[in-house]
Amino acid sequence: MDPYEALGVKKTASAEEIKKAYRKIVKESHPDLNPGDTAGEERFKAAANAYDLLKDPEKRAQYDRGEIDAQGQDRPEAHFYRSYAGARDNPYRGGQQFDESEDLSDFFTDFMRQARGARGGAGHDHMHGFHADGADIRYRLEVPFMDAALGGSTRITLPDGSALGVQIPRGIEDGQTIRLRGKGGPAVGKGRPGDALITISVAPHKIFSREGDTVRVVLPITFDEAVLGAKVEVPTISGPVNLSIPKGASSGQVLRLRERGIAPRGRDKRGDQLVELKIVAPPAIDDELAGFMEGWRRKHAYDPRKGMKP
Amino acid sequence: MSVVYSDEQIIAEVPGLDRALLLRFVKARIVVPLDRPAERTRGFLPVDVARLRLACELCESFDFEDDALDVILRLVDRLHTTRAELRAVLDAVGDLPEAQRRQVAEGLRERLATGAR
Repeated sequence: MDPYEALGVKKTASAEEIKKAYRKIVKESHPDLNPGDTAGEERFKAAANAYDLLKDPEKRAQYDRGEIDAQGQDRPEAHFYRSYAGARDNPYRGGQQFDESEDLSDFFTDFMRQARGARGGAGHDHMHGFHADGADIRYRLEVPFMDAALGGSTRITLPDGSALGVQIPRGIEDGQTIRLRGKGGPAVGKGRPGDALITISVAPHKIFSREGDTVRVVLPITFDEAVLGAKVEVPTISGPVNLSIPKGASSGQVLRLRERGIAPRGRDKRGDQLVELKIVAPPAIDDELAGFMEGWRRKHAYDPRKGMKP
Repeated sequence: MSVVYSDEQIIAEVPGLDRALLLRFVKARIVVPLDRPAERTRGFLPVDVARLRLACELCESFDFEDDALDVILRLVDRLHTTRAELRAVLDAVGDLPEAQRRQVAEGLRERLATGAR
């Protein structure tokens, strides 16, 4: 597409006019500011590509002389803020909060109250002037996988260099927020100080991964364990347990260890741990094994790829 | 959890971002770095890449000063949060039996028509 056309300017437009035209399109059509407007989005993408080219006098001159064409890079969706903005785990959004003193109240009432924006209080008191609650301050904290699974404690560094102790509730998930009452901005008058809102990112673990309360591990097993079955030790978040591998196990088969996963706060029952088996060949294939396999194959060939024929 | 970017990596990733601008945005709390006590460092996530990209675009187009930019981004956050909540409400309504769905639709129409808050 002709970049001048994308911005709606003449070929002779000045740099100032080009900037003005681009600014107008950003204002009216930027997808992060105008969600849901698909026509606007196309206009913005074309204009952004065009502006990238025309804002640089050298590139613009090259384009005008026909030395380069207007092929811009199409911008991947991941580059727009809107693909994160509404997500549950967006740290700038707030999301679900853990509160030390929270009672389990009616979800719907809570939701309506939040939607109407009622929080804290500010106002004039006849006798004593103006009072307002302090502002909430946002922080973000990465916690080790095990601390998130089992609970723990850590410290965050505040912008003024001081440190604040944080209790990590057991079972906290990526994107959830811990509210520390009174650790935010100062109050006005007799208002309450604001809260510190700490959004958690759970660091990955080298053997465990997690989906909600369920913990997942990939467990390497040997040929012979797969063929003959075995009892093997499996790590869980609360120490190793024994697992029976059934006779004739395959890679990718998933076994379930009941109640060896994560118990979220406020619940005693733990989730499960899933164990995905992965058959690992011995480091070297010796003559004995190769010879046995050749003999075995002659009599017992089987085709695990039978179902794959299109 | 996904990739964590260092200061250098995020500067390389976001067009128009340099060290001075990153420091300015962090100071104005337009982005909040991820505190990583176990690694004794701080980092940024893909959401920050997208947010900084938007911040840089808005700065380049409109010469916003930090407070104005902060106001805009907060409104953007609210807008998207509200849209996500609205979508969740609509999905929940969509799961209701036909008769109840119609009841909700009528209630909505009435409220929107009378401009109730």
